[in-house]
Amino acid sequence: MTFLEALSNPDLSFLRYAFIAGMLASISFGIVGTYVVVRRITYLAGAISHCVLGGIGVALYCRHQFGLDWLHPLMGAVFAALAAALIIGLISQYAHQREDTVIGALWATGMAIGLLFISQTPGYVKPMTYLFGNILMLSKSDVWLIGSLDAVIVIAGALFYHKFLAVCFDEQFVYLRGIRVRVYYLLLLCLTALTIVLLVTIVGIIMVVALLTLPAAIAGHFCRKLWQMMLLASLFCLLFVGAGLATSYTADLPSSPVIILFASGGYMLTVSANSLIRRYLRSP
Amino acid sequence: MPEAPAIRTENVSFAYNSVRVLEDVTLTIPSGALMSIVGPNGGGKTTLIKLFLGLISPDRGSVTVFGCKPARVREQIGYMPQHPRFDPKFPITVEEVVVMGRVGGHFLGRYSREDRQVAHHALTEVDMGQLARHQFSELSGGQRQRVMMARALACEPDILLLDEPTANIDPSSEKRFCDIIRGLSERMTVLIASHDLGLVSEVVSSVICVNRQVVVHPTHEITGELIQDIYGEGLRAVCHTHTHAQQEESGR
Repeated sequence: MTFLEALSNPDLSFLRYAFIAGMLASISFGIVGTYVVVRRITYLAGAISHCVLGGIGVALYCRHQFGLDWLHPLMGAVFAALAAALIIGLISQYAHQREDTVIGALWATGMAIGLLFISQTPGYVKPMTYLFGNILMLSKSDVWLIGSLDAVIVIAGALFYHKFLAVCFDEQFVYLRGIRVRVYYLLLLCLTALTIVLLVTIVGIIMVVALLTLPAAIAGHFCRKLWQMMLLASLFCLLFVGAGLATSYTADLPSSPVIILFASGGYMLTVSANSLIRRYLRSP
Repeated sequence: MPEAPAIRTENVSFAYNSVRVLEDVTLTIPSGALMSIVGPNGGGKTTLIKLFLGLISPDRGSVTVFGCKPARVREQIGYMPQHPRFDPKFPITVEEVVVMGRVGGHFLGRYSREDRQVAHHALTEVDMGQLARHQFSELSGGQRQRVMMARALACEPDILLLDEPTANIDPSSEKRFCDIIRGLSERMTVLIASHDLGLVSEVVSSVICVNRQVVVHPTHEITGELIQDIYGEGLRAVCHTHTHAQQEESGR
């Protein structure tokens, strides 16, 4: 059975959900990934993603311990991601600490909290699912949740496009024009946090940074404007997720590493092609 | 233009931690003036500019811009930074950079047609109109500086504050630069921070010499002796605190 046939097979609904979720989420990855790349906050995104495990752990624990059946692990993830984004943003802007130190500390703390709570959760919970992701485990309700998060990110990213562009390009100048730069920066970090939660469901905590930044980095080689970069990054992301899913299904491989390898392969190809072209143009 | 002096400082002192950078600076820049701020590196030029913009507050004394606190009226100042901090590969066109001077009006940040017209006019004023659609990262240093100047002009400021605008200018465009500055000074106060006394003295009417203390000289009073005074003292100040190598070099 080919991948396309499998997608339309009613018995393989999990594959269809995975595909739809991946396509939907790619749009927000392209938009937010572009901001993350040009504003150079990749490591900040890494820290937020590792803090997500803390939120997931606490949510799983509370759900089992206190019988809160409505408490979806993704809700814990959203809460932890937003909290991490605000903590890093506020500390770096007001406390005059070195940003990378704060990022590193939060990175590990979030993981530690998550592992502790997961270890205390009754029943058998595999942290591996969250660390390395499993897009094939997504249910219909997950797809709805991903779709609505996606809508929030796309609408906010489009509405504040010019402000975010200005804040990312030259924060000091925009501040001097009387704009509340900190508010917009924190808003951007919160959007990044929401996007990371989406990414965690698809490729897992550890590989978030790759799928967030590589499509945007590739797109950056071809684009003259930020919105073009976003559009192209989304397309690349779609391509990697789609190709990764198809390959992992056909070859019976875990999907997240295959998706990531497609992305990094694409990146290396672009970078080397780019430098070859430059060398060719320079030589007489 | 408003009646109050464009910028006024009274007995201003400022120190970074314990290093006193400015001491007892009293200065009036009349509205409509065309002046330059000169002085050695580390003499306090940038600190003075930051005080004008309200980015820092004086330890003692007061700074007013058009009679108000700088932070309240800083939107009337068009500022061109010496080293703008941006990603060198940022995907952005020249006109997008310049229209950023109009940022602020709307909560969501859309630019109106008028904003774009103002930006385009500013670009034409610095002779960069034909490069409007070019990629900003592909420009030369001098071209970028002119785009930054256009962005400051797009703010439609009452005070234009240029930090080292002559740093990347090649000799052939110096004359044109001076003409542009003269034209602008007819409708706004223009302040140019520069270490290139020769070029700025072509256009400005007086020079604000900053080296911890501030002295204002009309341009025609600037003599070789005075230049020695401004820069020589700075060199000695460096020698007191640093290595012998520098002392030997300045002695040569």
